[in-house]
Amino acid sequence: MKNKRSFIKDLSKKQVMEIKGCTDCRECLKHCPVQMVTGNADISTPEKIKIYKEFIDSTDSLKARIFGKKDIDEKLLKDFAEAVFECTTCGACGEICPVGLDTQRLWPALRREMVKRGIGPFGAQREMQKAISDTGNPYNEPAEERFKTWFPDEIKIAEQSEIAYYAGCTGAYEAHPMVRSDVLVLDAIGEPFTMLSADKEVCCGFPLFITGQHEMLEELTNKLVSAYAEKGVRELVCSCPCCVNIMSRDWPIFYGSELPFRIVHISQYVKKALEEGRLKLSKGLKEKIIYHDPCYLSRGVGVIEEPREVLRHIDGAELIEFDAHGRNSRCCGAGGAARKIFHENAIAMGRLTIDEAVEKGADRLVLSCPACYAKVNEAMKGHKKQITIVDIMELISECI
Amino acid sequence: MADGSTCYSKAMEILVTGITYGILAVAYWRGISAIVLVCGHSEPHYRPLAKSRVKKAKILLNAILDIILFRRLLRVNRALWIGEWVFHVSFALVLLGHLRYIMQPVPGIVMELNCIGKHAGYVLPLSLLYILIVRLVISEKGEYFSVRNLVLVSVIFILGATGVIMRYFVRPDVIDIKHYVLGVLAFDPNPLPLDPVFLLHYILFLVLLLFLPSHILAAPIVMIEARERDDTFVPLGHEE
Ligand code: SF4
Ligand code: SF4
Repeated sequence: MKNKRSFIKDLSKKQVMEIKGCTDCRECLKHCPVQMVTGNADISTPEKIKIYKEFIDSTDSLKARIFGKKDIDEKLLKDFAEAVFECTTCGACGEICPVGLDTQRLWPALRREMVKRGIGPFGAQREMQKAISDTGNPYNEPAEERFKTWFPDEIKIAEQSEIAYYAGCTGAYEAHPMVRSDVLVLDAIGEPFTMLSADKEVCCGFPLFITGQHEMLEELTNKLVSAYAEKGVRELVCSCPCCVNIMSRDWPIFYGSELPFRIVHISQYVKKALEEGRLKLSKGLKEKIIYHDPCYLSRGVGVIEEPREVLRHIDGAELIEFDAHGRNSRCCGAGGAARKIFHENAIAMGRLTIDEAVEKGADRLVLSCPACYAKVNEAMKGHKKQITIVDIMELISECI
Repeated sequence: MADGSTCYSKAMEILVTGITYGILAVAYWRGISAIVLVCGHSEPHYRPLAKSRVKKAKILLNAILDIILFRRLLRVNRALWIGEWVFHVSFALVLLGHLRYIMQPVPGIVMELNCIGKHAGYVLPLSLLYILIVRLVISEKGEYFSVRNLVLVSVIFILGATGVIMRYFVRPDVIDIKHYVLGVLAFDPNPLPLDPVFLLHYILFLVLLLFLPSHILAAPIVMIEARERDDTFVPLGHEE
């Protein structure tokens, strides 16, 4: 394959160093959820990095610069692209890496490079850009249906407010109990909050960002930021970890400056309300509950303690932990849009989470991500071990 | 007229010295290539994270400790950490001890280092054996040990073992070896010592140089970046 494009042009120096710095120690294999369910070391972090080093050598090494770029084996490039899209971008490998590779940021950058070369995204991921441009969401569902089926009729939304709630596409179309409970809890706190109309609340851009399709990101960011700014928003509350992640880490880059409002995960907002007495839980639970940390919330933006503190406010509930929790949590299989093409992997990973929760004797498995919610529920179907899955705000709304 | 053994030693000398220069050239080339690679492209995303000098100094100190003590590995695998740390330290000491062979006159400190290196030479192969055992015990299907790593470890193990053998059992002429090495470095090669254990030791050193992994230079820099990322990480909503 003719090979004209540099493999490092769109990577940061730090990322080039990371690729060169992997020691091939393979510690990360033991913590990778994809390895746990596939056992395929050929698609592991050190193998992908080794191949990418070869690509870099073919175009950007001193030899390539002096004597010309070397052609690339088309199959190798395709295999690499598939491997990098099979990863859930959970970042567990980077978290335990003895060198300190920041893989949660590296994989999306390498996916972007593959997309620029016309290899990837794959399968349903390919339709997302058009779907977002047509309907505002990656599921290609009608924009007017966004809030229809789940939004509680009795709740009134303020036209203007300093607090806004962003439901997000996955919650709005795939995890109704979750977003419904978000709104119920926000309402119970009693502070007026605003939302954008169904046609204005478009995708935050995360599905495109994570699959390396960056063309629309500036446009989506600007649309949303200016719409919230017009409503006088100072604090944007959101329950989806992926949305929270891109909003806090990448929106300022696409927007070109600091955002005119703060991004807050709903667990942080609720924790504060509970501590200040603005939200009271009147009912308790005599249950053992286990909380799963979403990768983009824990490793991504460091929201680890707040969901636990919220759960500890429930009278009588006993909170237990997964072996891998907090920054070391294990992906439930829904991450990185890989679930859209590697469905079986995602189901198997979801079942690992279910199995551990059941083995630990939990009565309910508490999630706080719409993608986890949808996928782990799917993984439960037909599985021999069963546990009730509940979203963190669903649980809180039960106790109000 | 030269007899057979003289011809053999001359041919061997030309071959080994030629390979030496070839490999040194490759090593230089790779070093320059690595520098060109990192310096020669745009930097769209990078921005230094720490602002205050005190904070920067703290990060640097922590990063140096991370590099010297392998603290990141200690966090994730204690059993392997002790082996890797002892291996790297003993390897560094052995290398420093070898300065004696490329310096003339030999400074006192180098003689001291040579003495320490002598003891480290025992530890080196033992630490590698320990690493091998730990890895193979952990690894059920061998996936935690790549072929490349296995080859590298084996090369260094034999290097270490031949070093110990030369010091205590076969004892080739150190003056001849030094004479040869200094000659190579001065581009004026002297006769190659034909002791088989030395030859094996020297050729394996060249192989190691050829396959020296790129992480030797890059990993410490990544560790500094990672430390900076960790120490400046502010969880969402906890900004000042
Ligand atoms: S990011 Fe997660 S899924 Fe991807 S290679 Fe690393 S540990 Fe595995
Ligand atoms: S743990 Fe880090 S250095 Fe080791 S193989 Fe994985 S990515 Fe490479």
